[in-house]
Amino acid sequence: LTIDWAAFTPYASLFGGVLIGISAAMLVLLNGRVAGVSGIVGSLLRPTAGDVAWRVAFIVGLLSATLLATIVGRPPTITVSAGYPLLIVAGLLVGFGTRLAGGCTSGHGIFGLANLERPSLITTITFMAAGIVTTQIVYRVIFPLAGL
Amino acid sequence: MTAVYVALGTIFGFILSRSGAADYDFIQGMFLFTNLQLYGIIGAAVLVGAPGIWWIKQRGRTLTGRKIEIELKPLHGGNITGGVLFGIGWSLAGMCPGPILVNIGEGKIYALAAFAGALAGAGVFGTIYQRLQRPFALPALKVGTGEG
Repeated sequence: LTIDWAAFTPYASLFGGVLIGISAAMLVLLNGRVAGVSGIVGSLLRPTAGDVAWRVAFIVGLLSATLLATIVGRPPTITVSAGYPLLIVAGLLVGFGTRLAGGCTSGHGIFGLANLERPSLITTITFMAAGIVTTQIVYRVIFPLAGL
Repeated sequence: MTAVYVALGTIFGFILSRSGAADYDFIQGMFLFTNLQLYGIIGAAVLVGAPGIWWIKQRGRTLTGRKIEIELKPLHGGNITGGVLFGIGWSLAGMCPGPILVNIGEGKIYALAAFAGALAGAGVFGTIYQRLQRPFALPALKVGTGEG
């Protein structure tokens, strides 16, 4: 288990990150506030008038992104993920956890950090650490031969 | 205007799809430190987003002239607890909220299970919010400004 440097494409990563940073700033410039995906979706569970259309539009964009990816080049590969029962449990943890924490990777990790918010730094460090510990336990202790 | 949000969602989703953020193996590689690409992308996004958001706050108005309402999120007990739960869920599912939607768009049917779980988790949070508010010192449950 070593760092796969061949899979690390610094310029492509940099370019992708720059595009995400620009679109994040664009969202603020249009919308006047910071918003991550868990909040954009979560707030639709208790919708307020005049605050629905842009959320639905953004979600439609996220869902249709693959169309663009397919037109531009290779379609995404389908990788095998966890089984269905585990996915539902993991989804519950993601949904409940992000609402309790007040944001997800985009809300805290990108918007919050870019806005230099200390709670976002603390939350981001926490969920990254929890993810690292969980994956390390799953793939180095429980299934060390899974080949990742 | 709505079309612009669709476009932003599409750009966001496209990068998530291409960068590996919506790929189970990439997420595990990130948490195992065998693939550093996603750290680079998040880092670049924050480095670009920070001056962007700073400039927009200085500007004080959105493109349509609305007032910028970026409220600083308070630090509360939910940041850590929610972050831990979310991090575990992210690792197990291999998806955080944005990529759950991108995966559905990519035709990965199993991502619907994570999405159903996440909606249920967010719903549970909304239901028991009153009981969590005091122990976690949660901010008022409101839709809109400053949420993740």
